[in-house]
Amino acid sequence: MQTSTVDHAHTDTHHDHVHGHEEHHHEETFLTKYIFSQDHKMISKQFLITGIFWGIVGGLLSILFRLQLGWPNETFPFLETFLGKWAEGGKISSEFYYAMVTMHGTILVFFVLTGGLSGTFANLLIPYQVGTRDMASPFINMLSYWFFLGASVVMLLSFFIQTGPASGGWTAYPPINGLRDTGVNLGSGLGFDLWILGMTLFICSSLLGGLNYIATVLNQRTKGMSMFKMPLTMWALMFTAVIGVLSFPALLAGCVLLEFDRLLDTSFYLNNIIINGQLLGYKVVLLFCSSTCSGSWVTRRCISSFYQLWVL
Amino acid sequence: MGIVSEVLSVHSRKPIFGYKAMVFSILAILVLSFIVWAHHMFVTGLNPNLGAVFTLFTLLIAIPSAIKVFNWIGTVWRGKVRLSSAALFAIGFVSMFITGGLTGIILGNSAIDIQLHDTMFVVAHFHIVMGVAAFFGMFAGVYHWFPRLYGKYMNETLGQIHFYVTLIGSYCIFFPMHFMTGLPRRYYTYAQFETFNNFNFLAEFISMAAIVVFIGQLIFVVNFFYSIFKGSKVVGEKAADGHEYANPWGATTLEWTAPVERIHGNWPGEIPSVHRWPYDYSVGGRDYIPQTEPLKPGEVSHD
Repeated sequence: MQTSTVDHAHTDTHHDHVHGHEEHHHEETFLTKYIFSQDHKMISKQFLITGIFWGIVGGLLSILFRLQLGWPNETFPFLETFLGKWAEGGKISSEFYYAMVTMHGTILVFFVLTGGLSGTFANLLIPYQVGTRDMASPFINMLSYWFFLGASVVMLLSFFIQTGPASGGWTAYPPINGLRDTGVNLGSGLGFDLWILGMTLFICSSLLGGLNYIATVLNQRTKGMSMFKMPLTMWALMFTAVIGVLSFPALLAGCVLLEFDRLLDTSFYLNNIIINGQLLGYKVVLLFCSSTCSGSWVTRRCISSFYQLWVL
Repeated sequence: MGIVSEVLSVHSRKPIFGYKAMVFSILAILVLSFIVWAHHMFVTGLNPNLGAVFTLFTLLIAIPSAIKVFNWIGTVWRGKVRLSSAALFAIGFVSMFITGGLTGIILGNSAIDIQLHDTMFVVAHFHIVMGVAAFFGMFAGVYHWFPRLYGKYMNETLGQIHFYVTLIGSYCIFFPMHFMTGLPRRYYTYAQFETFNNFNFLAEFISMAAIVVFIGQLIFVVNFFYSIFKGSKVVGEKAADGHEYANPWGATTLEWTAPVERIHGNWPGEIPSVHRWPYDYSVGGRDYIPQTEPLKPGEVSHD
């Protein structure tokens, strides 16, 4: 299996030409090579390793809530050691159970199977397989990863705040997520604010990456590489990027409108909710979406498209 | 899906079956994915007539999906399959995709979905087809392109153990969930519902399987990081330009024409030109023909 096979006899490459790309290449520092790299291969590794980290976290969360589902009457004292007030007496609290389910879905759907998967393989394979030296915009590609990392940091931070992370489900449906102080789940406060911030950064990352992938496949194919000479990986990664570019902005809009409801007392999603005798959203100023269903429609349409996003 | 197509073709030493059908199937799935969203909303008070429309579009996705499954099987069929970790995970993907896809046809019907909505049946469907299958595709890609990423091989034995633990374990987690129909999802505890007591054993079994599968993934993590530093090196041949070139899987695509060392700009000289499609395996009496090799007189291009 490991015997190498080199078949250069018939290629059009001219490896003996020394006037190629290398001649103009400048020495890279540790910072530009490993941290703020604009090289698609290094960015691919960054996405992969960040994705693996999130995969472990997301998987671990599922193990924790499976302990509750599998042995609901048992206690696990070691949990209190690690989780403190969220598992008093070794039993996971209902609050934290929902937070874990929410973050398990969020992490695995967005940060592993979208960012980790697409980010890794699109970055690694697109320039190599279409035959180009790098992405259409290596700088935007770098930004794509750093937005992803920023989103990761925000999501991770939300685990360590007093109210715990978001706990209203990874689909972020209103009305439970449209109110900051429901008194039902603590994570609907700052935890969910951080969730929306994290998702906003994540969507920026996906859009920057996706546009780059599409531009590279369409414009930077090597000589002779017609569309139907591309490997199927290229088709799949390009179409995945197209779905992302078309659907993520709608999710972003949905998230921002939801945050407006939560912080600015608008009523894109909540105009029929009555609390303390007051009809919420009565004071609405922003009416450009005109009804609650438009916002939730956007969110739902988006989530539906995500289901197809990472399997292409 | 793209990764799986590539890995299956390379490791079966056969051209992909139905290349253009695959391309148009992906396109069809893309288009249809934008008009199926209300299949999550069958129980929200949606007009049943509208539900019927979304049922139709949802079920239509089964057609391009089935074409792809058929083509993957056609690709592997009677091929000289190398059961490497990458190939195993790609085959595992197809298995998961079929299992999860079949329950998708059930759930796509609005009348049935009203009964099954928010039950563990949905959890089983979603996790198999979108979770496990996607992970299998990702693992196939990592094992296959690891030599390209790091110039090293991942440990094959650990890879195979990882595969079998994940495949068997994942089915142990999610297959029993199909029989927990009626058990609502997202509940913290079912203690108040005596009727659900008969699911206690299954819940315990699933939890044990989940723990085993999670430990199985740690095998992958250890293998991945160990291989980066201590994995066996990809050995290639030194060319006149001083760079080492290797094509460990005997693949036709361009990424294997670049030096083993990951240089900035990918190729030291000019970028290679392409003359043929990427799936010339076991043709013309040869194991494979790289995309960079010009067509012979009389040879017809695939595009």
